[in-house]
Amino acid sequence: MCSLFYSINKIIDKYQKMLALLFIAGCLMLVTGCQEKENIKNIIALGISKQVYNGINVSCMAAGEDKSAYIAVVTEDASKKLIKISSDGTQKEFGIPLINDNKEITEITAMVLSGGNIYIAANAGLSYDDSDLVLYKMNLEGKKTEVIGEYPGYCNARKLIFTDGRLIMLVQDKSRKELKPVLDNPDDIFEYKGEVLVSQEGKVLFDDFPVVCDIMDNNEIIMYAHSDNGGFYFINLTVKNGDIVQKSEPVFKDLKQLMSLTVTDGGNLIYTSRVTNVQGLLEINLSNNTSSEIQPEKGVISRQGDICYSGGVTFYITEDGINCFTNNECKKDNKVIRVIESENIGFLNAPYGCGYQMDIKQLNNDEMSLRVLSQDPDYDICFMQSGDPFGLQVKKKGSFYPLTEINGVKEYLNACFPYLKEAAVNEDGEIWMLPVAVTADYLVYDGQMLKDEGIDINSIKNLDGFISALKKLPGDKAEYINTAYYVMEDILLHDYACRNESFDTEQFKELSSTLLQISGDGLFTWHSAASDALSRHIQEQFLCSLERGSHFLESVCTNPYVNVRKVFGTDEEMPLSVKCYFICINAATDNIPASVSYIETLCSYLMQKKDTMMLIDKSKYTDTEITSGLYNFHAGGEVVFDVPGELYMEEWEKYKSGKTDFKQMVAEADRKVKMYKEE
Amino acid sequence: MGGKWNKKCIICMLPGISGTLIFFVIPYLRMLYYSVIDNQYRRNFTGLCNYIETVKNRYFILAFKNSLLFIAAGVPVLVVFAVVISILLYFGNISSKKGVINLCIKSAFILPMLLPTAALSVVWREIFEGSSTALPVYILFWWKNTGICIILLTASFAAMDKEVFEAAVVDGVTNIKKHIYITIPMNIPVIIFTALLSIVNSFRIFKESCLFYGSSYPPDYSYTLQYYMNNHFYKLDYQVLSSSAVLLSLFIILIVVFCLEMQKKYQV
Repeated sequence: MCSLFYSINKIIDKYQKMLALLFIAGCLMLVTGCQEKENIKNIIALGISKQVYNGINVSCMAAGEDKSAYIAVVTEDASKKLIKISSDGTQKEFGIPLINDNKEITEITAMVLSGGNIYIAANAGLSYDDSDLVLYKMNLEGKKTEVIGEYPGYCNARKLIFTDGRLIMLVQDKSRKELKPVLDNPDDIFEYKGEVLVSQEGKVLFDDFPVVCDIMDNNEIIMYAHSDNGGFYFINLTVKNGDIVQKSEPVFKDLKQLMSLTVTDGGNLIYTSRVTNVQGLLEINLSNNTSSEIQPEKGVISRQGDICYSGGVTFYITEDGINCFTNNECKKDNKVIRVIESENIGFLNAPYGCGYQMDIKQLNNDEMSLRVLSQDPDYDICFMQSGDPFGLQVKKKGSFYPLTEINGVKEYLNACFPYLKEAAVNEDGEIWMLPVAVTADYLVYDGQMLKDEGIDINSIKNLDGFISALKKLPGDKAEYINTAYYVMEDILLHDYACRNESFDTEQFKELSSTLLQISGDGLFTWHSAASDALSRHIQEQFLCSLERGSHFLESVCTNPYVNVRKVFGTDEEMPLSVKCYFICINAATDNIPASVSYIETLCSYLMQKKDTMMLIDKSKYTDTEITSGLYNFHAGGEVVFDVPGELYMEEWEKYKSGKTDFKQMVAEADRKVKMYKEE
Repeated sequence: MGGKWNKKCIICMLPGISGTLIFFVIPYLRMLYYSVIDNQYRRNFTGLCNYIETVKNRYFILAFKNSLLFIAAGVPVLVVFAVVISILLYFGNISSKKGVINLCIKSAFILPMLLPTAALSVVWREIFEGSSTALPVYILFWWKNTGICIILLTASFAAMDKEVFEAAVVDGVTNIKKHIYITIPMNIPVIIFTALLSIVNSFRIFKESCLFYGSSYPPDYSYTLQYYMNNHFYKLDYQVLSSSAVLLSLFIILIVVFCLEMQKKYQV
């Protein structure tokens, strides 16, 4: 040991300075190495978009004059109509059919407004695959429509641009359909269907695998295309006398295959992509290389022509109509609100940005606990749900900034159902959280369809009765029910665990016996047909479905036969168990004023939001049977801060697989739950 | 070379001291602070209320009891076993012949330390499925930690003065008596250090235990202080977490002080 120490001493003597430098370098490396490499999404979460058109029959859309858009809709008698929609919600219908000649028009694919005329591109032909492009011009004053061009070699116009006194079209060239682009990266997805940019005269202007394009303020065309050498890129094209006279240098930017592109103000581009995981719109500025997501409340349909911009307002097509938002309001000149959310949140549109830019990071339980406990100042808002393992503890401990004195919070909570207010107020009378959304588990059913199959749901009293009734359905009807076993098991076990102190009861014995009986039954599996039918309102394919949350509401709210009830097997006497999604302000953040301001804005937004299932005022709900049913459910509900599923699910799985018997399972589950509650 | 502190000693120790300060002392003081306030936001001083609440909790008592039992039962067995194996390895016939066999046997004891915990836990669960005692965890603890104890002890044996043994052989002392009256007494400080290290390692077995039981709520006989603290971490109950951590640290400090005093007593 002594000789070792002596040698070390000698080395230090000789290399003092170098050792000191090495030590400092090592510390620096440690510090920089500890930096978290995060993929931060800049999300401008919208809470201020509004619906300006309600209907699922929109063929395409074009930007109109100041803050308006023109849409081509297909009526019930298959005729085409033109409607002008404005951001203030007004609509103007042009009475005459849009196209009234004897050509067999299969689809209107693109439109553009210019000089009091609207130019329309349509596919004409006996079948979709064998159609030709026809160009129409409609004078909005005289409402007269005339054919201005027919292009047998082309079809499916994706974009119409009016520049240089003529129309420029992005169309599909039938002769180029079989061309395959070279993809350097095997993960790249680029489906080329023969798109080319052509002039009104039929001259090909750009055929190097264009994808989408739009016109800029300076009348240049901004084109997004794909190159064999380098992938996706942007290029500016100047058109003069029907020809491309200038091309800018390509700016390579891999945004994958885009479906739509629209130019807004200040050099920003908004686009949609079929390929990315993003549900909404994306915005990019090529000159300063910034990008962000715009997350509308309703998902954008990714298809051609689904967005357009006019006078500071962006219109976008949704599943059931057209929404719009004002771009300036979308991006308030506020500090960014940094949100951490629990991984258990799942897909939810909340929390609503209400014009604030939100940076949202989803964390697992470990990371969440660490960030909260360590008083991390790097987040402002914590977004959780009552099912999180720490939900109840957060309420008890009061570790977050109290919301009691924030403007609008008390009014908002007073406008909510009493049980939500009760959940939001802790023992000391302080408001510790703001509920922003609620979900619950329901059985959604089409009463008429079930009756046609001989099932009267109102006469079914319990889970056994429900199961027997479903088993009587003929085999081909099985697809029309979506009562997946694992969902049913989760709902029923969770409901039982939250309501009862012990698993050692007759009630649980019966429940477990029933669940075991049906566990291997192929009838109780997830049927996508039923779930799809419910979401798309296809009446004849939907009998009943287990649903979590009220997202289905919009698709079926007008159907008088579709209704909801509590899931069979849950306690009919007890109030509906409601899962509450809430936000808390981080007490340690240095962004308290912005966070408080956001909460104030959010409260006023939530007070006027429709169909939230949180507000007492019935005028805030759509006047339909099903909404009434849901309202009554939620009015008598309660927020339950859950016992974590892991406490009993493992024992349940062991019992199901035969590794333990019922008594052992019950004893072990009870022991764990008791430990969780009392430790 | 005496015990004189000089500039070079301090430079050598600087990284260790600064690391201890930054990663242990300062966080410990902060944790002490958290253990005497009501919550992270209001920070009202509560005195010893959190400690009283923790000590009164029956699950804390259960966890403390189990941890104490683990130390009282698991560590002595480990140390005795390690001493016996070390003596056999170092002084036994194997050591004098065929270095390869000796190396293989040593590797067999050291290898468990290097095995990945997750894989080990899966295998352990298969072997001890259905066990209704804490014995699998104890066996895992002994199996994993024997290696490091053997390394320390054999290193200590190598530093012993050979002349003492030669004198004993001349006096006609048997092998067993030689080890009882010479080897062990001469190595008591190292044995105490090994015991101390094993006590620390007895807390680190939590990872294997958690994976073995696959749950944050193991059977009562295996519920130790780490489970108690870990669960409160997930529940965001920093006050209970920090007060129980402080209590545990005091307990460990007591053990360490006791062991160090014993070590001083037997220091040659």
